[in-house]
Amino acid sequence: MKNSNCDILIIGAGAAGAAAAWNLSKSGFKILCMDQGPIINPKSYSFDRLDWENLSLKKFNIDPNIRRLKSDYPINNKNSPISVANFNAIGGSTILYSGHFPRFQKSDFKTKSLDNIGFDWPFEYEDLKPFYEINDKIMGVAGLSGDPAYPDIKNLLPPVNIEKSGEKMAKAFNKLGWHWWPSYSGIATKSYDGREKNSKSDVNRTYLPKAISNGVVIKPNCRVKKIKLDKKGRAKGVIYNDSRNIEKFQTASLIIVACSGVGTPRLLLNSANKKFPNGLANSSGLVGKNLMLHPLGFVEGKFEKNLDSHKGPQGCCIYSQEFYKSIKNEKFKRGYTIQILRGTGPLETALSLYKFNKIKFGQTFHKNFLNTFGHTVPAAIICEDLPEEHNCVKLDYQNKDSSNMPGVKINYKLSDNSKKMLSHGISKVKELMKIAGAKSMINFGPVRHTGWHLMGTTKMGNSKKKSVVNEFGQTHDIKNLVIADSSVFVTSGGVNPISTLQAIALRITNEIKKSPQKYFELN
Amino acid sequence: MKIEKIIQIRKNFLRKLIDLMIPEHQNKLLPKASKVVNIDIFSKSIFKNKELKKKLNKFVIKESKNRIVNYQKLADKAFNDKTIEDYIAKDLLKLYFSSKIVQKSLNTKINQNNHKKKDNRPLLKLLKNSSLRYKLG
Repeated sequence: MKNSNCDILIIGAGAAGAAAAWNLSKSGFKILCMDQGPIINPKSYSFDRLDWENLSLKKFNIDPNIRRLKSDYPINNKNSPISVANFNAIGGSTILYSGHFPRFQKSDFKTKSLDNIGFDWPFEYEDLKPFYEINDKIMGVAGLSGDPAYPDIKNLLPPVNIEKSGEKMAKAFNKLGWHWWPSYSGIATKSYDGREKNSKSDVNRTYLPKAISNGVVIKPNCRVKKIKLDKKGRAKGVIYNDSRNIEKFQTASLIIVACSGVGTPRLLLNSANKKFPNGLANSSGLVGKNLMLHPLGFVEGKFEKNLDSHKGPQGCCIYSQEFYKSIKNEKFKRGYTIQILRGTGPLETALSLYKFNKIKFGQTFHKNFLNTFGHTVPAAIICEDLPEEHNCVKLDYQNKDSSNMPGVKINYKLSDNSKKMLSHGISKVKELMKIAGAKSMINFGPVRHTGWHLMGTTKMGNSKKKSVVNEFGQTHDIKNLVIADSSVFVTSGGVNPISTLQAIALRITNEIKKSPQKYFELN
Repeated sequence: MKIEKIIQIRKNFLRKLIDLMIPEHQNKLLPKASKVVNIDIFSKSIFKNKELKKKLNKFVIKESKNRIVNYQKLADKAFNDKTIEDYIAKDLLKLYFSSKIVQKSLNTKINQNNHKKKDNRPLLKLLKNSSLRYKLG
């Protein structure tokens, strides 16, 4: 069955797809946005729900292989120390994310020039800055101006409360003379743009309602399986399975793919044809390669006093970029962000104590529990991951999704650079915890279930041989096929990518609005 | 013996057992497990495991032959059996810590120093003492 034509089809209604949809709305184009997942009421999973921890164990688990929802696809992580985390729904992973909203640093866009490692991006921070600003405004970002690490960030919502645990760690940073600042957080810390106070900035509350009111049509539960080309080699439409799992065809004049650093290469690889036998838009051979995941180190300090550390929005508290850039005489290049997180909720605390045999049922149960709950301060070390071709996403024909589309296989090895960086980060955070007064600590890395940040698998660049898309997301091989998500990242930075990937989606779609003739023939 | 009776005995026994595992906090800050855990949901969840079901039924049927069921004795016996604990611990913790009563207790009774600030002054004071060593760029 063939559906009527649309001007622009956006595949994926997550962080990037939603930003793209909004930016293109009101431009006169007929826009359709499809996602393989359902519509989720933002209130059905939020950190202020009493049962959020329980929900996160199954239905809202970060691991698609545990959730096994109809909208999920199998991800084989056996060849990777880090497993992929995501959520497939209208709103994508912003439904589950904790809302960390830092930007890339200027140096992140030129690691080759500065450190002779990785690659330079085809544009600079200044080119992206106006889009970061628009994005902050639409998403609603809380924080505090004046950060020496980001002196130009302004117009933020009031910062999240750093609470007692944040204050404790801030004092320790001060003692050591290390940089720290309240986290940039996708949390509406006051009523904002029609949103409730303390609501998380997921795109179901930000971009999507605006895009829909501007005429964008959202189609949930539609899984795009293949992108098809016409005889001239232009994208003509997609084969998808609708909510009843019936195969259909949707025509479009321009196709924008925004399915994440794993979902996007999956679709391109599955769309292989005679002209592109190794995957669509893959004349460079780089589709699926250079996967970057941000190896994460973890240190948790336990304190004598109850710090109520579980209070406050999950995740965001304070952060430090003291060791963000290459350090002279160290054995690794580039660096990492330290994020001080909130303590675990009661259920996770209890399950973890039980797992590590630190709680006994019976008369001492509550004492054991209350000696830990609220007393622990976790810290994450987000390491900049560098692009390496052997780290890649491949199709897994042995494991298929509910529409019979192949799942993916992740092949990923931790580089020596990442190992050294992780080790440095863990030792520095242990030093910090000690200064803060932690009585005991646990630490490990890389943390397995933290593959949220999926980047690099359809790299951006000027050379057709060395990249998949140009600086405006247009694939080098197919004029009317655009990629607008974190797949196009050239390097990973050492921060959460959402702010940057949305700014890039806005920059790309701005170019489409400005010069549509570059992308497709106008009627 | 009628199945209904066995089910009832099993429920009473499980209530006793989970109260041994999670008793009331000595200062009544947190409730005992049976006060907040729905025993039907709990039973349904743990009896998905057939081995456990077989094991617990054995306990119950043996004891139920007595005219007066000694639930305390039954629960004590099960409490000291580590394999039973391993089977039911996770389900018990999930239901206990997801209950509204427990969550509210943790947010009110336990954490009395509710640390809500009305302004940013303490934060700004802390930042004033922070390092500005970070190099821009």
